[in-house]
Amino acid sequence: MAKTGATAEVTVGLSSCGIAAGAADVFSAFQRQFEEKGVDVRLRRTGCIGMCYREPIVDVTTPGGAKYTYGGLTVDQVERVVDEHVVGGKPVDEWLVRADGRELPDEAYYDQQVRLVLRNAGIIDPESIDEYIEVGGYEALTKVVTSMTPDEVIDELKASGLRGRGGAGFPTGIKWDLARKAPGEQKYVIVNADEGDPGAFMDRSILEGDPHAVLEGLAIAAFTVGAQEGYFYVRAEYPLAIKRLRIAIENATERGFVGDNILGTDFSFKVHIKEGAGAFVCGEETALIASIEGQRGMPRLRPPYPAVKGLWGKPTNNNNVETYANVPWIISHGAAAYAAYGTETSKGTKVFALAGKIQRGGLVEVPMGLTIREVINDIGGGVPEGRTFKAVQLGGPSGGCVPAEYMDTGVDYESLTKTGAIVGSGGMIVMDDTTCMVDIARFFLNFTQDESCGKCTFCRVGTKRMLEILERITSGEGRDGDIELLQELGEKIISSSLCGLGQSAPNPVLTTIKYFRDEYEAHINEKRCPALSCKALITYDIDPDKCIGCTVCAKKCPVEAITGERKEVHTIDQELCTKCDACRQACKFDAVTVS
Amino acid sequence: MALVNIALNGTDVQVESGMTILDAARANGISIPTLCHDEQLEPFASCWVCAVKLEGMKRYVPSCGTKVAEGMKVWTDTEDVRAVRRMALELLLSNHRGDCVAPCQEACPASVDVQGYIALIAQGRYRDATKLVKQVNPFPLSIGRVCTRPCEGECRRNAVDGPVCIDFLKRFAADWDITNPNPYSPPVAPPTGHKVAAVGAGPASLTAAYYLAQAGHDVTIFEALPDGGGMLRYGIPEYRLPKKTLGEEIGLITGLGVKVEYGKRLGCDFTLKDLFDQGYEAVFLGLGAMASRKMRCPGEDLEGVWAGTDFLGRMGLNDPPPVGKHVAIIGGGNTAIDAARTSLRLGAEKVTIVYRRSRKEMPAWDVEVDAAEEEGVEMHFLAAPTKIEGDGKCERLEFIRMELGEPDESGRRRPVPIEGSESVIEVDNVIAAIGQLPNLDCIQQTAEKDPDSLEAKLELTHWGTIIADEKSGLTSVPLVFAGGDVVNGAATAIEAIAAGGRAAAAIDRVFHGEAVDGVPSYFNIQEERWDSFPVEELEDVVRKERQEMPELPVAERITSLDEVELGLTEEQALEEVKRCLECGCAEGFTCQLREYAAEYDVTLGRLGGDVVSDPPDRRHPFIRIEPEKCIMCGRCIRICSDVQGASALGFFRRGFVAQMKPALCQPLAMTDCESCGQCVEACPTAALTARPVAVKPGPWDLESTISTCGFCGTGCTVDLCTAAGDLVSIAPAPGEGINEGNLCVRGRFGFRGALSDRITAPRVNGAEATWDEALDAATATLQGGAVFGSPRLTNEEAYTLAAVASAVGGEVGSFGLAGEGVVFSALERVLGHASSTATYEDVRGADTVFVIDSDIAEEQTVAAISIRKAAQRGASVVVIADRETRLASLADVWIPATRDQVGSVLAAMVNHGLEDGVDASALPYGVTGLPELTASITGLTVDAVASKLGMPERDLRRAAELVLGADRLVTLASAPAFAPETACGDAHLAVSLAALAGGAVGEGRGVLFLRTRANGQGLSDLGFEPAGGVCGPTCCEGSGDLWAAIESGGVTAALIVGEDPVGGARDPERVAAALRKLTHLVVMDAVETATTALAHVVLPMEPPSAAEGSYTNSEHRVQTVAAAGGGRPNLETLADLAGRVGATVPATAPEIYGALSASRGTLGMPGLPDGSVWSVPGRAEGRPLNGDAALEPPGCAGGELVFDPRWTDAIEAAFSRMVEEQGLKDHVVRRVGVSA
Repeated sequence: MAKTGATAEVTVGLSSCGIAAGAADVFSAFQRQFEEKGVDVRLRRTGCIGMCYREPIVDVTTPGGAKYTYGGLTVDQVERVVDEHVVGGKPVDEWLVRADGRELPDEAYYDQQVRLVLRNAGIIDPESIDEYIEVGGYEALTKVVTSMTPDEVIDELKASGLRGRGGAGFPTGIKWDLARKAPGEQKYVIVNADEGDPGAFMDRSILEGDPHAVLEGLAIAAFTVGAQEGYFYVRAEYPLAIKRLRIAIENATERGFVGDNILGTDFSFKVHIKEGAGAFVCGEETALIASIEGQRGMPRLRPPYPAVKGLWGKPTNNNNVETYANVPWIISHGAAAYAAYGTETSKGTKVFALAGKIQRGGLVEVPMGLTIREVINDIGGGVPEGRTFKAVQLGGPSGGCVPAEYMDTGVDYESLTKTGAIVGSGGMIVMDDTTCMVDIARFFLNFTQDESCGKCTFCRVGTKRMLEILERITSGEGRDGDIELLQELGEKIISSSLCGLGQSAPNPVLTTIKYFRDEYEAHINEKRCPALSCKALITYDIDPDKCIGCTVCAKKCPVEAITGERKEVHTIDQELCTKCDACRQACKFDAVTVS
Repeated sequence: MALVNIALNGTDVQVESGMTILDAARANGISIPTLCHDEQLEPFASCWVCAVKLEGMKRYVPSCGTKVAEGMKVWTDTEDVRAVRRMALELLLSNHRGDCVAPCQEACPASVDVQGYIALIAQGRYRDATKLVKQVNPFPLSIGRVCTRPCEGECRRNAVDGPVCIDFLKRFAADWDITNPNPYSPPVAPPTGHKVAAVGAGPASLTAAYYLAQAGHDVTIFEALPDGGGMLRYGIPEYRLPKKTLGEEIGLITGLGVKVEYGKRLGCDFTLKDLFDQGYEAVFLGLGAMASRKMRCPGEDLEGVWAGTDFLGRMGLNDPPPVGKHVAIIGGGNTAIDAARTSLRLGAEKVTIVYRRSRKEMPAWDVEVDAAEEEGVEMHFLAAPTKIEGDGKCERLEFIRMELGEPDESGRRRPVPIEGSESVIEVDNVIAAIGQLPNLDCIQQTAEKDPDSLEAKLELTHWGTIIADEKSGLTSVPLVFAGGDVVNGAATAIEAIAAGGRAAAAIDRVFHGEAVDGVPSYFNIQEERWDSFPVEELEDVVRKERQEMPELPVAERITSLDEVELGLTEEQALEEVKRCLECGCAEGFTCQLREYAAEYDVTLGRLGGDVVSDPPDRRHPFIRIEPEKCIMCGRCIRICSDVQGASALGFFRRGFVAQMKPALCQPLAMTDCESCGQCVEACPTAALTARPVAVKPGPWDLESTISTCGFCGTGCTVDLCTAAGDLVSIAPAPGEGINEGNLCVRGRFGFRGALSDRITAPRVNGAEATWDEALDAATATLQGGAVFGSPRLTNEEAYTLAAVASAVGGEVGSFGLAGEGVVFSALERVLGHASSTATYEDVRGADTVFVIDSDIAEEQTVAAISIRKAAQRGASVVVIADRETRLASLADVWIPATRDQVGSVLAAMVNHGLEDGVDASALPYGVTGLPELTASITGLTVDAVASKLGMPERDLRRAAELVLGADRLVTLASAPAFAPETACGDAHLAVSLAALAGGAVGEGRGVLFLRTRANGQGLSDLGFEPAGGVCGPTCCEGSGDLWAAIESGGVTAALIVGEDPVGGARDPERVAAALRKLTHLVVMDAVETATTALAHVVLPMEPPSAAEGSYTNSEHRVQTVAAAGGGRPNLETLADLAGRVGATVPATAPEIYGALSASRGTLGMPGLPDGSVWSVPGRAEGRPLNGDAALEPPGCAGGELVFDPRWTDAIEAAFSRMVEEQGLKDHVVRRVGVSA
């Protein structure tokens, strides 16, 4: 006999982040439990709700709509949740991370968020068009194709102040207008979902959590600019996003939201998915277009801009995932409602991926202009206990490092640009006092250097030369003049590269030199890494006052560099030591020191 | 074109809108460097060397890809722009490995082109090798004996098994040359009237004089001593450099008109002012450093104690000093050794060298020290003289032991005396050879006497040498130059020679009103020195020991002053050259990167780091890839895909390790590479180079001759590149000619077919003969004979050959025209003239191009490029081809039809037009005979043909519609497009179709039948009959078939020039049998062939690259053919033949051309023509087409094709074989000729 219990539905977050944490197993466990126990409760899947640090996340919703959120749920814990909460109606309090009407610490994660783009993520089943329609999906498209002219759409977008969320922040209304006015019968619209910044996963989460929103935005764009075909350029490393997009396109075609004669009008629009092979540079629009055309993904000189001469030489509008996802909301709620959020020049919200040395890492959406401090400390809960916040890398490898003293800078296009960083696509990598700023610059440059398409001299060779200089600095072989050479190279690379990759690749280096020059100088002049992170510049020692001779460190040492009799002070052979940190981690008496 | 206003470096100018900044700047005389931009390609904008600054923009923009815009303010040459360019170049160079110049040449003070002369020696061209050396060093005989050989010290081969015997090889070539009855002597320019005085007749002055004299200046040398040569004569002993040899070498210098006044000493006999007063406009001081340093020890003035230079100097004056039994030499340099060895030869029983350091520190040359020891010279190391004693004359030498202390500034450890270690030896003579310095007493005395004298103004160093500018040798006194030891202190002869050369160049510049130090600066990158060169890169080098210099046996040496080193034998030299590792860069003289690096004064190594390492790839027979020289400009990749349509090259990987690679990283030969060499031409560095033809690569500073390609009928403009008179490569002339800077595999590499099996001497009945004998034999019984000429002869050669035929009462024909005649006769019958009516420019501008694809893409690549360009412009392309050729794949419609089916397809298209009611009577010229034509192809309707041939009717119909509906239609075909049996009718149909479509003639339209040979059109115009063609004597040709006459025995003598009918025969036995029946067969060809093997008389011929005159191409464009290199001109040989048979022909090409123009209306252009299209019917003269000719029905029964015309050309056949043997992909060796 079916038990209905006190619960209306159980929802499991099944985005990549959740699945990586074991959410698929948790989902199956609920399924099994319900079957075994005959529980007649709806079990739903949804996208990422943002608290990636808590995955797997399960929502238990009462018939009345009250929602209880469990975080970090394991398969073993499922039975108790089912028994006590789903069936018994009594929440398992110690595992709850969030609950309506209760003051749990994670509530702070949401306090200052405004979820327009992520409006449905974590709420609806991304594989169900019905659920999307239920929450107002495709109303905007219907409104546009049945009652608006392209000019009206453009006016609305211009009034909303929406700017491209891919990085450059170009006003979307103006961009669409250019493509609309470009002469030509055949036009294209493209969704750039080639998200490749290390530590960034905004686009993936949106596509996995709410694919229809992007599709709807794309269809509105197609109508507006006069395109008959559209492409999703999604990196192949996002299989779940691609799968959900395929389902969305299929379902939307069945329902007449895309395809021929959309909603009975003359407007027809065909959508394709192109899987990118993972070249970071293909996020650059001209390289992306070349890649769709089957060419090597290499940027070309602009102008002509894609709005005039894009895919197959035809006028093409290209926006990123988040930009398109904003559009249906703006059409439905009006430009004014959107423009109410944000600053004078940066309207609306921005999704950020919080990562790095932070307590609550995940996907957050905040009004533009909120300060870095609010995002990192209030929403993200700050750096791990005992450490101090040092800097945050904004805008991915192309962005810049903003130090602690600029924490009250607002996250909007203008304010961040002043610091030398950029909003970029929204990556936020938090660093604490254990992070070496020279090494972090090296890390990002290593990434961009690998990902340079190899076309422009400065980007191809210049970034390599910068990387070599950083490598020698972090290995203690820095020379006088290296900082100046880095600056000279960096400035020239920025000013003499065709695309955004080269034009921004030196940013992490230049901003860290700007704000942390002393760290560079310590490496070069004193052969010292202040963060005690660069292996070539640190030594491990055993504090004779603290060592009790327990031999644990010696046993852990993979290279047998530690010797010492039981109950006697141990020593480290510096010749052998590989600075792997195993001894320090193993020592219970804090006797291993790093200097 | 609309104009826009822009400011270029602050100057307002108007330029065409749509131009790039780069083009706008160039149009206004501002040059902007670029490496990645190519005129033929869309801007790529990757190198950033063309960066410019736009006012108001933070970033720089690449000027190659940025279009001008109204109001734009461009700065092209500000310091920050230059800094960007400089850094771009520094970055590119930081990942660019190689030696711009080989280390040997780089090490030579005079920059002698070592590899150049080694290459020439390898080819047996010893005189040319000497000539090359003498471009910078007039003393190869002397230097080849006495040089200190810095080149060998740097030779990379040191890292393997020892340096190449560079100096011995130079001596070998020079010795060979001087024993020649006519040793090399450079041409001397006409007198300029400028007078130069040189003081001192040593190597520096003599060198300066040598080059000044060549430039036409009047040079006089003033020498204090009675003979010339300076230290070469008065410092180097006879046994190392015989005075006779030196004298001969000096004789070659003075032989240029250089005057030498001996016994005239500056300061004693004349002053500098005197020279200027006598009209000398510049003075070179080559005073040497012939004074010896003093020992500063007691007894130095005793009799029997000599300075080393005085001792050796007396030998030079033929006044040997009287040496005693025991001679002590003080010093460790070459002079000490020379003095020691000379003393032995003068009879000393014991010779002891006393040197204050150890053997390791001896500055003397190791081999010299070894030789001295071999000869019995004793050496006391770590010993210094303290006093010389004796009663009036030298009897004893006291010296003290030394030990080595701390290193001094020269890096050698300083010797320190050991107190109380004195010892004494009995000696008869002491020769002090501890260093030399200039003797400037003469100058100083004048200066002291007259403080206003020029001598007083001459600035000296405190060592007593003259201060002179490094680049020019200019001293502190205007127009007074100095060089050699007087500037350097006692240094080497080669340095003196280098200084003399530099001063001569500087003086010459002054006479030309140029800056005295205006020496172009060169930029060099250099690999690691051999001792730190990556060993793994030399692993493949086969060990081969250095040749040993043959020497006089020791016993013989010390009893005479005879030369010890006897010189390498020829055998040894030819072995030794093989040891050269060929360092240096093939594009050293043309590399744009190198040029810009010098211009922008880059700093090497500033940004150095990893290099993407990848060894050279030599797997392609013609093209070498050196990945480490690639700068990723992508020009090769883009030219290959966008212009050539081949896509054989591509980018590989990302980031710093991104590389240019053959497609799919295969060997280039295995890709779609057509071996056209376009990539080589596009490459701004040496990442892609044509593999050298010579045994050694050079690098050559090439001479260029612009001419017309001798292969197919396209008539591409080519640059024939010669080195030392030899053709070494053929390149397109950038942007020039019909080919617009493109070239195909044959045009570029085909000349290599003539590199082996060359006929070098005339033969009569198998035996070598003189030219006169052979020419007499050739013409003796030629009466009534048939004469055949290759369609690769120039008009002038062909004219002369025709004159021979006419004089012997024979006819002229050409095997190479076989099969082509009938195709062109179709043009004649429909249009009234047997020549094409469209040009390549018409192709590029056509709206529809109809190609009956006779492998055009492969055989006539440049024509295919024109078609591709038309397609890129949006023209429709219709192609009939039996397979999906490149053209087929770019076509709007491709009709897959074999050559047997072409006629049916054409008939269907004609019928389609007729069905559609094309009104033939409304055409601008009368096409009569329409009923007959219609009748002959009845039934060959579109649907019938489509179903019969199994092809889509829709395609056939669309093809017909595109062709018939075209506004500017150009039809292309060549003879191999048609099956031989039906070629006559098929070609006729093709022309008829064009006529029906209104596209047979007129502005921008026409029929372009491509000639398969460079001058097929010219020979046709001159009346050469196709021999062994398909229609035979009764059909289209309308005249007797020469070949039939030979086969039937009607002709018994023949002269064949440049053709190999046996090799080109479809049945070689049959042709050979017919030729064997001839009683007299004369064959003239460049290479041995199956036909020359049958000849009674064989005459050598030069390949087309050495021909002079004109070719008439497929468009009927007459173009100049200029000769590059080569021996006896063909025209001369042919004229000699003509003369012997009593024909009168003009001797020179221009004269013949004039005669041709006068006698035949068809060549109606005065003077030697230059690229004018003439006699395109209905265009040039505005006359209508042959309106009377009936559009005759096709349907020739077809005859027999005896020859595959392409193989009648021995050079082309040899080249094709070479390509085949090299394993290039089949697309290079095509189905050939009109054989199926």
